[in-house]
Amino acid sequence: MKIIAAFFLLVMAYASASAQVPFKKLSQLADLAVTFGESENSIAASYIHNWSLGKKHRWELGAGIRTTSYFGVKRNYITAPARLARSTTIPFVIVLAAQEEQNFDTLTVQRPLTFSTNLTFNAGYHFSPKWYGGLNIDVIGFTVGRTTSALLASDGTTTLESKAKPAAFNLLLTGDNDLGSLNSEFYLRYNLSPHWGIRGVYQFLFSEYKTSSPDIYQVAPDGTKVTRFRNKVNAFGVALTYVF
Amino acid sequence: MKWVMLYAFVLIIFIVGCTKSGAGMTSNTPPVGDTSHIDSTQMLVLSGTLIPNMWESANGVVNVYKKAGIYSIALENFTSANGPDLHLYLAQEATPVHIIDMGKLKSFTGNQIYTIKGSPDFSKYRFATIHCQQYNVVFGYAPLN
Repeated sequence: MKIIAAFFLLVMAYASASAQVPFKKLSQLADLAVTFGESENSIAASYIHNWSLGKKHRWELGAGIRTTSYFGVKRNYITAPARLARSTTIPFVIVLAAQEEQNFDTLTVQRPLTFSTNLTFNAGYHFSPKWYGGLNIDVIGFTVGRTTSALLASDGTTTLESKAKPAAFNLLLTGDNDLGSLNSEFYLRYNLSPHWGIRGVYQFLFSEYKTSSPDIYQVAPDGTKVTRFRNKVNAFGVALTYVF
Repeated sequence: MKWVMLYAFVLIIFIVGCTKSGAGMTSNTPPVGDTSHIDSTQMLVLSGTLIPNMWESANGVVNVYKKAGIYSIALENFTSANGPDLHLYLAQEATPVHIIDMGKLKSFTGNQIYTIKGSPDFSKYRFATIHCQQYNVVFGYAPLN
């Protein structure tokens, strides 16, 4: 991690010292990304509207909209509610909180397929006219997708849920407080021309499915019924960007 | 150059879309003859005949044996239609909900043995079921008596 941070600092220092090139005050982009995981993949299409910051317009902040299709085979989803999954639910702190693995049960979703449309937050930095680094994260939106069968392994028993459904509502609340299916990316973009660029992407994606049969759920240690299960996807991919 | 990049990108998407989902058995999978260790010391506990569903046929006899406290479930004279991700369950219902997964079928045909971990309550687990797990289709079930 320190090495990566040092690398980025070096690149930024180099970029700052290099020839001054005017960057746009306003950027509008369309993007198509594909990511590859283990028995799971995603395709995301997005529109981004960024505003530049600073005198040199190297920094950018913006908003956008993204539709992400996530699909896989036999993916393990674990207990989702933050109060069960982590030692604290305090926003932001939860990201570093210990996992409460003794509370985890597993819902193996046989054929997950979701389409999530979310508003996004974007930030980035022009290292040079050719190189741009950034991040984006889904904030709020909705999900539709395939109802599929799943196996719930809970308290030493296995039950077959024939109607596992994607969680419909998505909301960024940080860490395991999040609801629904949310995509995020760290990336490095290389501009091939004034209009076209390619990106190398690291993706961190939350996918959430719920059991819907009345008698299929996890019984939490506090006696409550748990129907929400989450798959955390780490994947790498590539993307094609068009700059308007 | 940009059209080459665009073409390569579209090609990647198609390749991803065509990836094989779950390696399964093929119709050429040889039958297994895996009941050779069933001898007179094995005690037959339960038995049933597979009832195929309307479209996907699974036929044969299911026997549950016990020896030295260990249960095993045997498919004998077994045949099944091809299917991806076929599993053998002990189930509490004919349409499985509460199950013990014996694992993937070893073959679509022939005699085969599966060891049962622990001691299930056979007054509850009264069915053996051949189930396509990935697509949630029951190929056949046998009430155990």
